[in-house]
Amino acid sequence: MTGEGASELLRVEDLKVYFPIKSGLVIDRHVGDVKAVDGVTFDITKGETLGLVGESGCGKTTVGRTILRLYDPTEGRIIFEGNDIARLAQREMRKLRGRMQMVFQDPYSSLNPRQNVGNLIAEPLKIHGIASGDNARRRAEELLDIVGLPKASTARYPHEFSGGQRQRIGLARALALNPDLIVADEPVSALDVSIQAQMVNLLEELQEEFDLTYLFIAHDLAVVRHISDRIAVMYLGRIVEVASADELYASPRHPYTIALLSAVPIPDPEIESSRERILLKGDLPSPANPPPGCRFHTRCPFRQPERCDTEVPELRLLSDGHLAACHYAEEIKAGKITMHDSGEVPAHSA
Amino acid sequence: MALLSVRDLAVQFVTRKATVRAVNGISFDLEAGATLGIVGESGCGKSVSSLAMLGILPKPAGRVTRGEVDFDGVDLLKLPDSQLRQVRGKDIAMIFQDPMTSLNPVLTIGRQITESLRKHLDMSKDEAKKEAVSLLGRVGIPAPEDRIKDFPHQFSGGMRQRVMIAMAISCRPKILIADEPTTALDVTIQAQILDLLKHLVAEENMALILITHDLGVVAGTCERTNVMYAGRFVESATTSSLFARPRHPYTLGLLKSVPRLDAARKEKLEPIGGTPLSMTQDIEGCAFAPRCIYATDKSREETPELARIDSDDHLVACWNPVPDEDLPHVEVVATQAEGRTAR
Repeated sequence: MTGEGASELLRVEDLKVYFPIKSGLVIDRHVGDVKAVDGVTFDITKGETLGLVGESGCGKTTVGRTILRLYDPTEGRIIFEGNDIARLAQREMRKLRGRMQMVFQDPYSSLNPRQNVGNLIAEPLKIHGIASGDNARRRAEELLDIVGLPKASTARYPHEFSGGQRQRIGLARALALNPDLIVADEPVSALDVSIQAQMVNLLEELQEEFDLTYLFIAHDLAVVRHISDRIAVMYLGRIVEVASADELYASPRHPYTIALLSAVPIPDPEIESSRERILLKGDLPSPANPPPGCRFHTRCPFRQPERCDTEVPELRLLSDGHLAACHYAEEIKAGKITMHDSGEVPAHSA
Repeated sequence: MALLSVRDLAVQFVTRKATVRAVNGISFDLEAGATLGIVGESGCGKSVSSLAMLGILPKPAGRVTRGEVDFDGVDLLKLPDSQLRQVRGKDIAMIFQDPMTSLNPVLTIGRQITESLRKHLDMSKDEAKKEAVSLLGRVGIPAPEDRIKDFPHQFSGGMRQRVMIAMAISCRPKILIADEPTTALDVTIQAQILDLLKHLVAEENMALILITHDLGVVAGTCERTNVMYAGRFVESATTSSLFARPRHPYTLGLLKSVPRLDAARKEKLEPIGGTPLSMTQDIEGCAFAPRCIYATDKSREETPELARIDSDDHLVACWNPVPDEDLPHVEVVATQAEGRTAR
């Protein structure tokens, strides 16, 4: 089945990725699963940036890695340009990876310290048989120039570069094969703020120049809002809300999104002092044993006695292009359901 | 008189290959019950300066080369280790970024909290245990009587940071130094921890030094903020004045380079050009000059000292402070996320 819109690049349907929990000394007994991703559906249009946000452990990185088939999906379909690649053999997949590349979070561990930068960038060209020898080196220099590093860097090693420069090298390597889709997994979160902005701008410039499509995975909502066209919010292995970046901020519909937005500190003391913050109670439940019904009901400040803990809410269309998975989204918006005390942090003073 | 008074503190790391000038002469006063934020990017010396104050610099490379740290009339830098140990953990306590590595994995939480109670306050085993339970309750850990027997790995990141805070406040310190206390935590957990810190500081009349790279965190927590660059304070002001009228080009640069969640989306972010200097070289003139659009020849030759600007409360170390017309104007966008929370 191909996508209805000709411009759809990727669609993920009901994706599930479970990691088995094993136990036993001699025989590995399968005693359960960590349901890292449990029924995720979204699509990305060509040339767009989809932001995927959520807190640690919500499965956002697993989604990104599974799209590139670095993990095998347990269930579901990954449709890239109309073809389901979820069950593709690794050999077939390798050919396709030239079209989809990844930029990793940690610029220190994602570059081989014993290879010089020229080789690091040229390696994908050699593996895919696109260029070798002098041609590959020239292409590596060209790529370094594109990401704003001196061409002479090819002879240097990763440890000679700062974190921001290393992230540029990682980006040059991802661009080597002219990909269509780049999965960027927290590409700026290891960088200092002044360097972060340089990287965000570079990503945007490259998108325009090379017509790239991004899946931008991050936990920093302000950065995600800046760079994304649309944003999907994940909680405990499921998507709870999808909307355009501005709409999501202006009118969040899922209680988790509302709480998340209210928790982001804003660099303005006047606004900070007058803001009402929703403090969620407790921690993220274990993805090995997620709560029944709506997964957020254990921490939800708007929880109702019915449906929330028994019935899994589906992601449903609330308004044009705005989806949320909450049984009571309409009532909350209309003000018929107000927040109750469970949204507050346990008392810390008598 | 100020509770803590730091004068011209300088710290170097000396190795065979190079000398790193981590802190190059910082001075500040902290009153009882005050909250001070120290903001800067990695490597600017913000953590090292507090380690130096408490005499816990990594040895043998780290050394204090000059300065005074006056606490309650005593220069901490001159105290012998045995006496400094009486201050550390009791009068001045510290919590760190990573709550996993700062807790001992093979001792129960209870054992780790009672240790300082028994040492500093001379409590008996039973008294200390009772106090530990009440402390865990105060920092918001459910069922503290049971959790006290648990080991660090049985706690989540946010809960571990709560345990660290319980340990830090156990001896009712006069000063709490929190070094990036929420950097390793998710934003919803960060909000919980910052809220807890704010409440505790107010209740106990503790002074707080909050070290962070996140401007949003100081904006909501600290009365006063010092901005640090290359081992020096470049600007020091009340938090409201600093954010409303940043005078140092570096402060302005930091504010402009982070996207704000509540502001209308900009086409492009405005990063600070270039990268920080290597701290192994001798710095002549203003350390920020190579990245600064306002820099002049004077900036490259003479190092500016912190001096009064606008008011007695606002200090800046800059020859060419940011003029009013260059101050950022932020267009704030409304959200329904907050309006709806009012009950």
